[in-house]
Amino acid sequence: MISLSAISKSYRQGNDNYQVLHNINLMIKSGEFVAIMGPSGSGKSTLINIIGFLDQNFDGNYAFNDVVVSELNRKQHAQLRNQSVGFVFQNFKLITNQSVGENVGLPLLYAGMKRRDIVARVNEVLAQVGLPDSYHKLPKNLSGGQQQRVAIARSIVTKPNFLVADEPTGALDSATSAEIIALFKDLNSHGTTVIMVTHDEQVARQTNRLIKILDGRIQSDEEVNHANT
Amino acid sequence: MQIRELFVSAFRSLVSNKRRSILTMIGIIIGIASVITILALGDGARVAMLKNLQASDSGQQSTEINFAASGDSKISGFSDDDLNRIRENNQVNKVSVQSDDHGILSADGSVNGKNINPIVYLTSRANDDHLISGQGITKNDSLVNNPVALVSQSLAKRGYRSNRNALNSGIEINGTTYTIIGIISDDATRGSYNNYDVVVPRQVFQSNNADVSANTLKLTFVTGANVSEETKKIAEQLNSSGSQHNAGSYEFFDMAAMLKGVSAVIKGITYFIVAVAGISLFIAGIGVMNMMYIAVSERTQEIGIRMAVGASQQQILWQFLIEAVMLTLSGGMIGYLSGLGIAMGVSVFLPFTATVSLSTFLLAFGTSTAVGLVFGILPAKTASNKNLIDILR
Ligand SMILES: Nc1ncnc2c1ncn2[C@@H]1O[C@H](COP(=O)(O)OP(=O)(O)OP(=O)(O)O)[C@@H](O)[C@H]1O
Ligand SMILES: [Mg+2]
Repeated sequence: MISLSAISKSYRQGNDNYQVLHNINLMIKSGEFVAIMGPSGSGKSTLINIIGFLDQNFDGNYAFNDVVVSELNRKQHAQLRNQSVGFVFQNFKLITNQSVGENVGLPLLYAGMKRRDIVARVNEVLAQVGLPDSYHKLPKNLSGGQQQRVAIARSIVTKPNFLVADEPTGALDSATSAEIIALFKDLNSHGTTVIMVTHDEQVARQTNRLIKILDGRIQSDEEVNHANT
Repeated sequence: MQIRELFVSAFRSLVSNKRRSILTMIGIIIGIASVITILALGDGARVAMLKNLQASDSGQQSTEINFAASGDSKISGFSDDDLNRIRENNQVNKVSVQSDDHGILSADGSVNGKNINPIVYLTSRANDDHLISGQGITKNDSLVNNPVALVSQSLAKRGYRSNRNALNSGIEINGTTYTIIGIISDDATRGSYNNYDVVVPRQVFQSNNADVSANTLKLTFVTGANVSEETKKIAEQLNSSGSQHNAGSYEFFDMAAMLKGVSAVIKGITYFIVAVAGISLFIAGIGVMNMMYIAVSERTQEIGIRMAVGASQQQILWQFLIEAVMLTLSGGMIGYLSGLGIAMGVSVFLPFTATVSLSTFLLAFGTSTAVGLVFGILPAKTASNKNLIDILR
């Protein structure tokens, strides 16, 4: 489904070019549950933003289901973002002055759906993430774990091909983290591909594949052995 | 995204910042309101002017030439010869002398303390033409010099608010007080176009007014004639060879020229106000731009989130542009309504009423939309050009 070959990325910092990613080659198949780990500043977020269609400025070739991502114009890129991927951020990224339901329904609004149909679908996914009857609540009245559930509901509302999560448990305590990871696991067991950046060994061990990144290069890429845990 | 949704979300973000939105709108409101006020008044003045100049519904214009005798003599300034000579002028459609010969003349007077200049019809017989309420003048009233009068409904209203109050009250005409016994309709006429407001017995009027030979010649011109020019010529001709040119003078009050002057003044005022309003709208536009820039930077996170879930650059651009236009347009519409209100209020004290026209509405609508577009486009561009990665970091 996802095929990265020779991906490089550098940022301009003043007059220098600072290269963050060096020649990344990576294949991810539909249905996988992938964890990406690495020290701070190693380029995990940079990589995952490229995979999740947030960033179009990179060198190399990214093919997504036969679509060559780097050849898309900005509008098509935005459309791909809307339809094919769900993004979950560390700090939830909810619009604070809109209700939970409106936040979750936002991708559907941009997909051109009618308001009436959106409400039904939003209530469906809210129930799926364990927050039924919270359509009209405001995000600020929810706990961190609940807000992250809202963000996950938003990411799956368009039934995307895969989810990308950048440290989704980074702002949560360990008990809440476990709940969120269980939710991802559940989604994955129903066929959703999940790619997740994490610092937490415990969290990474729940996935099926662990990719380690160091200084913008893939250091190791192996299956997670569940027998030890 | 559906277009309706763009409007809904723009509306909601304006409402969620009510105070700021209203403050930003004030400049637009003032600008539009002042333009609409002056245009509505100017239009009203123009319409009133045309009405004044026109004697008939068919667009023919009429003028008057007055004969003022030099002494106190009761002479008629216009003989049949004069009239016939004027009739030869093919620009002139109709010529008639309006004087007491026809029983119609204009007079000074007051009703319940308010000054009036009514057209008075002097009747020698019983008269109850166009009577609405009360009773007509009887033959007996004329015989016994009974000072009674029929007055038009608008005069009755002017003096006494209602027809009923007016009945049996007084009206003063040329120094004589008459008792109002009947109310006639406002469109009461004698012959084809001689409007009148008041009817009194001729005997009573004549015994109280030494000089009733107010000599007025009413000229009606064919459509398209140069009314003032022709009237001036006729007046000059009368002064040099009219039947009474030795006994007094023929005077022509050039209404058209005066109205032209008035309309030039109004035009000048209009330009001035439009210029002031233009500056006000420009400053208001800058205010809108400022507010939109603030909104864009305050809502950077929201923009990032919207982009991350699939909003295209155009959709972000439209969101902020529609917000700006909605702001200026609501300001414009409020300004339009207050402008009309002010114009209506002011015209109570003026001899004409303000007019509402589609074109001023479209002007308000168009201008405020344009201000929103012009001053909203740059902030909206800024919003849509934001770098998603930078926002989300
Ligand atoms: N927009 C940017 N402009 C310039 N440099 C950037 C930008 N984004 C990231 N970088 C640099 O690229 C490097 C990699 O950043 P990245 O966010 O991918 O790291 P990370 O692995 O996600 O780290 P962390 O675990 O702390 O989130 C960092 O050194 C960072 O300073
Ligand atoms: Mg990171």
